[in-house]
Amino acid sequence: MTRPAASLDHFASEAAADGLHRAHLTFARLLAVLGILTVILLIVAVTACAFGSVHVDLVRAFSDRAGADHAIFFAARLPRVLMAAIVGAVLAASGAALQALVRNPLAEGGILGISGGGAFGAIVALIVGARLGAPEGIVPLCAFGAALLSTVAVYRLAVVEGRLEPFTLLLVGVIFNSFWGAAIMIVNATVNFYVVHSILFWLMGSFEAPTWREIATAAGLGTLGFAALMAHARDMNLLSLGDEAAGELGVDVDRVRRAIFLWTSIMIGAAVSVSGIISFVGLIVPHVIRLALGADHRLLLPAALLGGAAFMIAADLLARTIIAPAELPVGAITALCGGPFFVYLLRRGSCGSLWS
Amino acid sequence: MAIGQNRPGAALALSALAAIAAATFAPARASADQPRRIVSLAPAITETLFALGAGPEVVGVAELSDYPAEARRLPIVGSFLTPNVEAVTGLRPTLVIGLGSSSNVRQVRALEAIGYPTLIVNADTLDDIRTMILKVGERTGRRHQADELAGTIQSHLDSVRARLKGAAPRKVLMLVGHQPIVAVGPGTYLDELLKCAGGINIADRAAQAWPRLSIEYIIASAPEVIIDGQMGSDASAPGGFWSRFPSIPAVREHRIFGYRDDVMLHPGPRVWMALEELAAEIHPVEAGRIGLAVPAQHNP
Amino acid sequence: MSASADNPALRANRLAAGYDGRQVLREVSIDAGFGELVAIVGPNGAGKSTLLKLLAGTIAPWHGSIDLLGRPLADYERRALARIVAVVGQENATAFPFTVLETVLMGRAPHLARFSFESPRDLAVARAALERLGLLGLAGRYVQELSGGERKRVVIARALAQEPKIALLDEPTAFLDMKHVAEIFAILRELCAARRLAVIATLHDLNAAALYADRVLLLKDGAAVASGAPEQVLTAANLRAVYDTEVYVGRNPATGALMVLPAAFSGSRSRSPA
Repeated sequence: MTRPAASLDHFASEAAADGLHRAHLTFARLLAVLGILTVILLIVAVTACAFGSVHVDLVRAFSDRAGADHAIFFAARLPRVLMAAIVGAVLAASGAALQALVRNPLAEGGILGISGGGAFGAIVALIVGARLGAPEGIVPLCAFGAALLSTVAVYRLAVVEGRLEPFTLLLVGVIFNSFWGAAIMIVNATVNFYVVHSILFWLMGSFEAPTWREIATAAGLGTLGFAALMAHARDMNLLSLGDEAAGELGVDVDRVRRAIFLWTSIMIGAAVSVSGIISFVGLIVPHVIRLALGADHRLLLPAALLGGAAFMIAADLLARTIIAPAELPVGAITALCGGPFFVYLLRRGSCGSLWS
Repeated sequence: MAIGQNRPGAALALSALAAIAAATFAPARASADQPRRIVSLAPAITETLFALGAGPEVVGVAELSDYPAEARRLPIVGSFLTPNVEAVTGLRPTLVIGLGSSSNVRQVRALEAIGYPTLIVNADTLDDIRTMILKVGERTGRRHQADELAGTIQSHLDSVRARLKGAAPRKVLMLVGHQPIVAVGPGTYLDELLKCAGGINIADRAAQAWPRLSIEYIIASAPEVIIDGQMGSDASAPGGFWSRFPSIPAVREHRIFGYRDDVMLHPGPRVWMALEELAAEIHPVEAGRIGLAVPAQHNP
Repeated sequence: MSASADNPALRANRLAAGYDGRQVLREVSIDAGFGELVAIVGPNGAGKSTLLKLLAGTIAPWHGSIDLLGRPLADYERRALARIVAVVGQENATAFPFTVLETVLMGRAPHLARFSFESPRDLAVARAALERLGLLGLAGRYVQELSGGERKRVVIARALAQEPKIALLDEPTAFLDMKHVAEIFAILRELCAARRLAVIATLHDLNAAALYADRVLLLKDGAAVASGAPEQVLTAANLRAVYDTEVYVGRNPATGALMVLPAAFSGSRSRSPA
């Protein structure tokens, strides 16, 4: 580094010539990749709008306001595709952030007990609300509140001497998850026969008939959370070097950890409250994108957002067409993808190693 | 007194003890005609027993057996899906009756293995219900009452069917609830009742008996009547959810009804009441003509 | 410890620190001037790594003061500190598949605004660091695929990319073979000379300390035993006291540098000289 500054341009062009630009993220590459992913998402979304358990003529849906096509498209199909996109995007992006938080590619909201708490809250609200005749809108609210409460409890237990240790967090999360699972099972066994069905609905996930308010709320919270996460994208890169190294590079590790944890909890809570538990999206999508596009979170987060949306829309399309006119729970489709995915990972011996 | 000296006496005492023990702990042998202690493992069976006049002999019932009122005071032996074998044996029944279509078949077989007399009946279709009534009547020595009851039910069904013959069938959607949407599908007695009541069940196309339909399909099928049980939570008509889809004829014309699940969902002797209620909802005009009360509708 | 300059890059005075109530360092002072390479040596458990963590600001001392560039360490904001001090630690987490270039570019993070991308200059700095460490050919490879020694060089390259004024290295030559050890020190010395970089490194290798360091601090059980020029510190008497071993201190016939060798073995294969 004794060379004078004038020849740094020389280096810049040499770097380009080396093809080094491929080995790191540039603004141009970010735009190009996100552009391609957006196009893919739009194609998937339009396809999902065009197909379903019944045939809808898209042209007539827009032109004939009073016709059945219009009603089906705007009342049933479009809200559903939108909700699937939002939830998929939220789960995938927050999954990627959680993996950065605990430095482990196997983390997602389900593992940290967030969605379990949300589901339990929803189920309790369902049962109590049914007895007391409460409006149906109370269920997502309780789910969200319960998810946040679970988050706070996990956080409190996982913080050791003021620091949020990744390993402890994982451990506490797994414990809480088991706890919520047990609580749900107990409730399931003690309620009457009909409520069991509603509980299953929450446990397997569904995008059935979302209200526009739910869509707007989920979109709003998801956007806020995503923006907050993006602000910490570079920090997430640095966190992967280890807490000490990240701190030595200027990252306020504790504050960043808290922020990531808070916002991912909000995002996942919002998703669970409107669609129930849907697992593996937060695991599969970030992992695939990492393998294909690299681990830089400035690209990973938005790519996971778009990829998660496309994945969820596709899974929901399958869920509602395979045994039409009846439906499969969408959580079953994603879980079915999860199994073979992990077998593939194991056989490939992927470079996303768990422990350094 | 030494044992050796009094061996015959000791042997007698021991066998007497054994006999008493056997009599105390073994299942009671029922005489073929008059069982005294009956346990019912499904609400529909409970209703049938009471309808046949065997109410006083029922000593235990499954959860949700709330009709008639006397049944509510009886000890509960577990849920409809999982009866508690210990609770059943604790009541020392002379007959246990279970439903073949539910998972309690396993427990019934277990009780049978222990030595309790059991009876398994089905109640999936209207024919099944009729057979169930006859079988239960036979086992409880009330064959005559069973024939009468079956006949009464049949004539009610026939009369409603006949009266609605001229009416044009209407598209109907019947649901157990809408969160999630679980519909009444083909192969159920409710499906048959809907047809008897002059309705076309739009869920008939599905492959399952209780299909989870998509809203899309419901909108496209355009049912003229929706009967939504709301998972047994609320007997009044469900409003907010369906009002989001005003293009459905049933919603537009305010033909959405709720129901009490104990009438509709228990395939027992009151099935004719279920039919009358359905008929009144599907064809109110014709039903009114034969004197059926039309249940209240909901105005969203 | 004699001050080597009127305003040393780093000066720490009478530091005492420990973990969980257990004291590890007692009253240790150290300073390094611009362009100086200071080595901290001593047996395991002497407190070398703890001292380095204190200087890096990772842990706080029980008492004592640390000044960087004339200002107290505690006054520096985290990122501002990272622009001045680069640390090469012993841990090397690699949870995700980052390439060598991406990892080295992370060294530019303290200089970059939150939402900005790396500029051509950042890239050039990183490239220069890679070239210096002989890692250009590995730039596109994943760090996880590299050997321990290669990974260590990546970390050092990352530290260089920070363009620091002070470098703190904890056992930088562990896992490296002879050639690379020599190269690392050559780079450090070159940076000291040309860029006036102040370097403090903990070393277990006394000969490297003797050869490359301007000054040496010898620690034992958390206290400073000796400090000063290598010849003054690395004496047979000092080393016997600290390492509890007989040593031979002489001159390397090839380089003329100070040389430390163990003098007595038990159970060695070669016969000890008569």
